[in-house]
Amino acid sequence: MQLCKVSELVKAVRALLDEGDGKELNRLDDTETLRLDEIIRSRLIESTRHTLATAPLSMIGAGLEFGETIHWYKQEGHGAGYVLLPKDFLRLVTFQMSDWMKEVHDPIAVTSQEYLLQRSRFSGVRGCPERPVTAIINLPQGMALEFFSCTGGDGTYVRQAQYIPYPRIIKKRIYVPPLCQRSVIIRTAYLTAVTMRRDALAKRLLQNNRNILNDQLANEHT
Amino acid sequence: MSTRNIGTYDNMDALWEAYPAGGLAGDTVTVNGTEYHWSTATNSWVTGTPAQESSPQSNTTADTTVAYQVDDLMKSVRIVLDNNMASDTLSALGDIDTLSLDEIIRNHLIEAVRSVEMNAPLSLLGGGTTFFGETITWYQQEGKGSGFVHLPDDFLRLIIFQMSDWQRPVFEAVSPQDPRYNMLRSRYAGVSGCPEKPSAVLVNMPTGMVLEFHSCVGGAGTFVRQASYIPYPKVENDAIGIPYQLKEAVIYFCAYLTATTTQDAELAEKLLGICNTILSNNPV
Repeated sequence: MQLCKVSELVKAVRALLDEGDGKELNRLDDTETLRLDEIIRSRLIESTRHTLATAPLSMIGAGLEFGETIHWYKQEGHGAGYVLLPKDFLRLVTFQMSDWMKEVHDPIAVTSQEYLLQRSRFSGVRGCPERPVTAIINLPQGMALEFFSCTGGDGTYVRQAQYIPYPRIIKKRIYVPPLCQRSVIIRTAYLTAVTMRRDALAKRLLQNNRNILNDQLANEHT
Repeated sequence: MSTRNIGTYDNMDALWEAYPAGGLAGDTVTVNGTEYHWSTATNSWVTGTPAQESSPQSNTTADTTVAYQVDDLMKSVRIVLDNNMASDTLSALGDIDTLSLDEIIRNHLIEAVRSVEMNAPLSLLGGGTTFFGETITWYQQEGKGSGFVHLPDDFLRLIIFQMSDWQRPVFEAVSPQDPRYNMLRSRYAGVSGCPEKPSAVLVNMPTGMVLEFHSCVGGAGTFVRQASYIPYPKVENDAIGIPYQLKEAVIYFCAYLTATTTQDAELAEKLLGICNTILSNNPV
C-alpha cells in the first residue's frame, strides 16, 4: 500500500484552486493560508473515501487480506456461510472460495430481490460454485460477507479475499492508490470550493472528476 | 473493549511495515518485549494500559460505532461552513456570533445523527446494539404462528431479527399502515409470513413499542436467534456514538441544517447534495 504525504496532496489541491502552494505564509498573521489548509485537510478523508468507494476496480489496487475464520450455516464445505469483515471495511475487491470457478467483486445488498433468491428452498436459483454470490450482512457481532455457496466439503477454504480499508490519516500520511490520486485531489478541491462558495469552480471540478472516472470505465470496456 | 494481539515485532519499523495503515481499536502488539496498543485518539501505537476510548454505548455495540467528541464534530461542521477561525479567544472576548453558531450546530447535532442513521443503507450501519427479546409473547401457542418481543426504549431502527426456526433473517420492519401488514394478518396461512418468508412489524402497544414477527412453526423452545438495532443517538460524556462510515455524512447534514438556520439557502442545498452522495455512493 502506497502512502501519500498529506502535505503534498494539500499542495496539489491548492494549485487546482489557484491559491499558490501555501509554502510560505505571507505574514505571520496570514490566517487565510492556514484557514484554507485546514479546510483542505479536513476534506481529504471524505474525498478519498468517495473515490475508493466509487472508482472502477482497476483503479483501487489490491487492498488488504481478510477472511481467516469461516462460519458455515450447516455443514463445513457445504452450502452457505460467512466470514466476518474487518472493522475498517470499506469495499470488497475480490472474494473466492476454494471450490468456486470464479471470484466475486460486487456483493449484493441484503435488501435486494437477488438476496431473497439466495435463501430460496430451490437450490437451482441460489448461488453455486459456477455462479457464486456474496452479500454484505449486518450481524450483531459486526459486518460479515455471506457467500452462496460451496460444495467442496471438508477443507474448503477462502482462496482469496481482499478489501479496501476506510481511509485514515496516520503519521501525516494517507493511503491513496496511485491511479486514484488525481481523482482524490480534484474531489478535495471540489469540496473545498463548495465550502469557499466558489460555485462555478466547484461545478467544473465536479465535472472534471466525473470525466476521469468515466474515462477509466471506458478504457476497461475497450 | 476486547483486545487482540496481532503479532510480535523486533522494532517499530517492522511493525509499520506489517501494518502500514496502523491498527484498529483493541489491537495490541509486542515490540522488542514491550506491549503497545493502538490509540484511536492519536492514531499511533502507544505503551501502557489502553485508555478509555470505547464508545459510549453498551458493550454489545459492534465496534464500527465510534464515540466522537461533540467539540470535534462542531469544529468539523464549522470548517465545512468556512467558519473555522472562531477560537477560544474570540469566545472569551464575547464574540456573540461565534457563540451563537456553536449553539446552533450543537442543537442540530442529534437530529443530524438521527436523520443520517435512519436514511443510511444498512451496509454503512455496522452491527448495531444487540437486544435479546428476552420475553417472547405468543399470540396463540408457543413456537406456533406469530408473536412479539418488546423493543428497547431507545429503539431507532432495526438492523437484523431472526427467530430460531426461520430460514433467513429480516432487515426491515414494516409499519402497521403498510398494505403488507394486512396480508400478514390474513386468515389464509399462505399469504402471511412463514419461516421461509418471514416478516417483522413495528407495532405501538400500550406497553410500549414491540416487534411483531410472522411467523414460526418450530414449536416449544423456539427462541430469538439474533436481534440488533440502532439506538436513538444521545450525547454522553460530551461524546456521541456514530458508525464511522457515517461521520462525514453527519458533518455535512449538520452543516446543511445549520446553513438553513443561518439563511444560507444556496450553500445548504449543496451541502445536502454532498450528504446524499455520501449515503448513496457506497459499494453495496
